Amino acid sequence: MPHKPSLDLNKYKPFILPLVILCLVVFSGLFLLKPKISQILGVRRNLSSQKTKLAQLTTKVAALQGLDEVELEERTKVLLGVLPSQKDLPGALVTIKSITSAAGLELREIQVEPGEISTESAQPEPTKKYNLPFLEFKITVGGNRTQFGDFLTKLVLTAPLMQVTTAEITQADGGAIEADLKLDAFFLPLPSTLGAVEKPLASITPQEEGIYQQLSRISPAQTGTISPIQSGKENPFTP
Amino acid sequence: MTQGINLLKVERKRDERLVNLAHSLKVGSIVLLIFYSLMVTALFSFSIYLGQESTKTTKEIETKQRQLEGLKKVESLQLVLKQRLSSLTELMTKRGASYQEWLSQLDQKSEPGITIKQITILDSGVMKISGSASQATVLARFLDKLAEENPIFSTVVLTSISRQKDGSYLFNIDLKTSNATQTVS
Repeated sequence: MPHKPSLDLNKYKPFILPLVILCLVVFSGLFLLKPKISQILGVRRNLSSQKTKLAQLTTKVAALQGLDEVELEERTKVLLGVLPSQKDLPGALVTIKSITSAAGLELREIQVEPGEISTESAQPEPTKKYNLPFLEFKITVGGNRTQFGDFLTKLVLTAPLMQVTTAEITQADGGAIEADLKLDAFFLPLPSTLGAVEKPLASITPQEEGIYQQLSRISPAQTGTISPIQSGKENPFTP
Repeated sequence: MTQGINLLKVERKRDERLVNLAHSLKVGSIVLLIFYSLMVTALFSFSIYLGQESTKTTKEIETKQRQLEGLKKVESLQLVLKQRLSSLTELMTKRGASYQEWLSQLDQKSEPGITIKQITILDSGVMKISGSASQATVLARFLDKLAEENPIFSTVVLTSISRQKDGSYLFNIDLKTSNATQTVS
C-alpha cells in the first residue's frame, strides 16, 4: 500500500498566536483606534478655540474691570449732550434762539425740514457731506459784525454740536448786516447691539481723548424751553 | 556495512526554519501587542485629559461670561462713548478753521478805502466777497495783503472789477480757504 503524505497541522500551531495578535491589532486599530484619534483631534481643535475664547474673555473682563463706571457715565452724558441720540428739533431750535439772543442778533427767519422725528425712522443715512446724520436749518439774522462774530463763536462752544455750512452776509451802508445761514445740527442714534461677547473692547485712542477734552468744554445753551403757542379757546364748551 | 541515506534531512531543516520563524513571529507579535497596548493606553489617557481640560475651560468661559453679564452696563457705556468719539473725531478733524476765524482774518487784511458789501461762504470752503475800493491802488494793496502767507486763505482770485463814474472800483474776489474741497473757478 503506497504511503500518502498527510498535512501536519501541529507544525502551524505556533503561527496562530501571532496571527490572532495581528488580527486584533489591525481590527481594533481600524474600528477603535482610528475613531478615537479622530475624536481626539476634534477635541483638541475645540479646546484650542475654547482657550482662545477664554483668553479674549479674560482680557475683556480685565479691561472692563479697569474702567470707572461713574466716569464713563459722566463722559457719556457730556457726549450725548454734544451729539444727541435722536433728531432733537426743539433742543436745536432753543439753542439757535438762545445763541442769537445772547449775541444780540435778531433772529428774523428760521426754516427747518425735520423729516421723520421718531428714533427708529431717524436712523443715520449715508451722506456725502459728513459721516453723521444731521438736521439742516436755514436762518436769517440781523445785527452788526461784532454781534455776528460773537454768534459764530458761541455756536462753536454750545451743545448740541452745530456747524455753519454756507453763509451769505450782506452789509448795509450803516454797518448793519443781514446774514442768511445754513446750519447743520448733528445727531447719532445709539448702537442697537453690544456685539459678540468675545469681541474685544474698543479702547479710546489718544486722538479721541483729545477730541473729548475739546468737546467737554462745550456747554448746553443757557435757556428755558420754547413757550407753547396759545391758540384756540381754553374751554371749547364756553361760548 | 551498509551506509543508509537519510531522506528526511531536508524536511527536518524545513521544520527547523518553520520553528525559528514561528518563534520570531511570536516574539514580534508580543512586542507589537505591548507597544500597541501602550499606545492605546496613552491615547485613552490623553483623551481623558483633553476631556477634563475641555470641561475645565468650558466652566472658566461660563464664569467669565457671568462676569461680563455683570459688567454689561460698563460695556454699553464704553461702546456709546467709542461710537460717538470715533464719529466726532472724523468730523472735527475735517472741520478746520471756523467761519469766525475766516471773518477775523478778512477784517485784519482789510484796508481803509475798502468797503465789503457782501460775503458768501460756501460749504465747499470758498469765500466770495464783493465790495468797493476807493482807488485802484487801495484794491491792489488789499489783494496783496490777502495773498500774503496766512493760515486761512490759500488762493486769492480777483474774478471781476469795474470802474465806477466816481473813480471807485467794484470788485468780486474768490478766496479759497484751507478747508476748501473745490478749486476756485
